[in-house]
This record gives sequence, C-alpha cells and structure tokens, in this order.
Amino acid sequence: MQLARRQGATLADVKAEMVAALPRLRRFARALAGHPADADDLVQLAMERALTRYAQWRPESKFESWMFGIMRNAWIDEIRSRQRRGWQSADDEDEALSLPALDGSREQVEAGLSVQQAMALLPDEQRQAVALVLVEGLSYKEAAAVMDVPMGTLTSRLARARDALQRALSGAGSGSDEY
Amino acid sequence: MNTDDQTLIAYLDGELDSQQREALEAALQHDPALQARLAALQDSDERIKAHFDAVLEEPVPAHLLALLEDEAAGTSSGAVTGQGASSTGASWSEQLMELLGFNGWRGWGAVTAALLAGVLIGQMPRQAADDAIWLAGADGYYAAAELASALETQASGVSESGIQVTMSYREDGGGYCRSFVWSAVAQPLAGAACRTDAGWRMQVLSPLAPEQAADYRLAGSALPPAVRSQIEAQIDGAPLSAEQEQLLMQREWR
Repeated sequence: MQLARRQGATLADVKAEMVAALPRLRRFARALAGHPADADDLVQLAMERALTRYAQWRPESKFESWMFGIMRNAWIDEIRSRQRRGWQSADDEDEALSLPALDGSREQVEAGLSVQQAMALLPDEQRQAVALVLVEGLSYKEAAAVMDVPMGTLTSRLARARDALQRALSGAGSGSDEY
Repeated sequence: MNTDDQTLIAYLDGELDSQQREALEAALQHDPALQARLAALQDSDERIKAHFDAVLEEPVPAHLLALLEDEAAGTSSGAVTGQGASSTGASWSEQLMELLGFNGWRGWGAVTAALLAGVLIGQMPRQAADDAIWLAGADGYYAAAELASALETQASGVSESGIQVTMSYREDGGGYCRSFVWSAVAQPLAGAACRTDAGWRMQVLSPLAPEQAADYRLAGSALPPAVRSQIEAQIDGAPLSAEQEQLLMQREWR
C-alpha cells in the first residue's frame, strides 16, 4: 500500500491498520478495563466507532494514537453509564482477574494477579496515563494529546500512579505469607 | 520527594534531555537512597509491562476479526466505498493472507506468527482435542502429535497420511524449519514451522482450497503467498538437500 496518494484514509486503509494493531489495542484495553471480557468489549466498541468514522484518521498521524483516543472515550462513556447503573462488572468475582493465556505457572499467575489488582486500585485517569505511557510506550507529548490534558497534568498523574503501583506491587510481591 | 520521583520516572520513560539525564546520573552516583528508589520504580515498571505484554501473545478473538470480515464482505459497504473489487469470492482468511503476505504490506513486521495462528484458529472449525493440529505453548503455537511427527521424521516430497512436507530450510537465526501441506483434514492447510527445544513452532498457516491441496506433488512453488513470503523472509540460503535433511533427522534437527 502506498502512503501518499489520498488525503483522508480509506476504509481499507483503516482495516489494514486495525488488523495489525489488534494485539496492541487489546493490550491497551486490558490495561484500562482490567477484566478480559470487558476489555474485548471495549476493543469491539472502539473498532465499531473507528470503522464508522474511518475518514477522520489522517495517515500521517499514528494509527494507534487515534484508536487509543477513541477507546479512551468509549471507556469514559462506559464508566459513566456504569455509574448510573451502579457498578456491575461483566462477570462474577472469580473471573474478574486477567490471566494471560500463557503457561499459567504459579509464579506467573501470582505476579499477574498482583499487577491486575494494583492497576485496579488506581483512579481511572491515572490508569489511563500508565496504560498509554508505560504499557503502550507513547511519549509524554503523544499521551497528553490522547488524554487531552497539559503535559504537567500528565506527568503528575504518572508520578502518583507509579508511586502507588510501586507500593502495591512491592507489598504484594513479598507477601508469600498471604495465600 | 515528589519532584525527584517525577525526574526518576521521566528518566525511566526516556523523557529527559541529555543535560538532565547527565545531571541525574551524576546525582545517582553519590546517592544510594536515590539509586534504591530508581531500582524500585524500575522493578514495578517491568512487572507491569511484562504482565500486559502477555496479552500480545493471545490469539485475537474471532468475534473481533468478524467485525472486519462483515465490513469487507458486505456487499453494500463494498459498493459504497469502492473497495469491494478484491473481496468477491475470497474468504476472509484468504483476504487477510493476501493483505498480510502478498502485497508486501508494510504492517507485516508488526504481525507475529502467534497472531497469524490465532487469526486462523479463530476462522476454523473447532477441533476435537485428540486430532488437534496445533497446541498453544508458552510463546506461540506448536505442531501437535501427528504433524510434529511428520515434521520430525518425514522426508520432503513424500506424502503420508495426508501430510506432505514440502521442503526444509535453515532460518536466518540458525534453526531449521520445514513447510508442509496437510490435506487430510476438513480444512486443508499449508504452513511452515521451525524446530525449537519445545517442538515445532508454527510460523505461518494458511488455508487451501481442496483442489489446490490435491495438487501438491509439484515442488513448493504452489504454496500460498502467505507461506511463501514467510519462507522468503526467513530462509538463509537455499532449501536443504535430501542428504542434509537425513542428517538433521538423525541429529533431531540440532
């Protein structure tokens, strides 16, 4: 596919980018939403929105950043509607923790659980900052643009989040006494 | 303390300019407390990254791919956007393979073998566990019993129980790989797998039309584009000779 032939993106361009971006979109959604089923619902919602407004993507800008912005807005809508309904998670408690579909070794599961729990404790805006910068590797500038906040707001959210995560993880990590 | 934290975090995120970085590195040398704080933040960062990176290796659920399929195959949307020309008659997985492999599309590098396998697994009829073709492993998909045994011991060009290994090659990184066609299954497949300590790791899989599958006595030239381009990207030198293959079988491909 050639890049510089049209101004706006075609539907085919957006789909091609989407196929390649899907694993990352799922990773970002997992960091935002926590529960794997919620996360994939979020990916689906963002994909649907992106496909109906594909022409808004400019091929000269990063596709992932565009999708992350759409997904973040979809997530904010979801949180608001949950708050109206009174917080109901997608599934029962047992499934509320994300288990990567890997070898499921005890060590991996324990490390995974505590990361999941630590992320769940963060305020949503801090979690978004961590998802964009730490998980997805966006620059501060890109992440601030996706979140539509000044750089200073982003960096202070990141600092508070990282401090809270570090405390939560070091507490949980050494706590083998707690089963 | 908070200011220090922000600097340390910006350092970890690669957001300090060279002057700031040098200043911090100088400060770190004489400040064990600062060093410890940096190490603690780095440690939790790495755990978080590793946790979410595992999502990248999961197969993409079929219902997400189906969103793209409906759009691509839908007659009305194809007509409206003028993008439908190539979608007639081709299944989604064929389109996907064309998209990923054949056009030399620039996104190729971002698509892992694990994703490809996941994509195709999502498209295919669910397999009973005892005749599974592939199994999920720690870092991708591995050939299951029947295919693994053919890859391990069957000479190229010979067809046995519906599996034909078409050729063997050495990959760029040093390991050995083989391409194959499996026609005795509901959905005939072509693919390539590389030998690792954990078994034959799938590199690419592509569906075949049944009539194509029947016609595989000819050399690998007719392999589907996705498989061919995977091999082209990976191969180091020429395909292995029958003698080299025999030797490698005796050495268990080491």
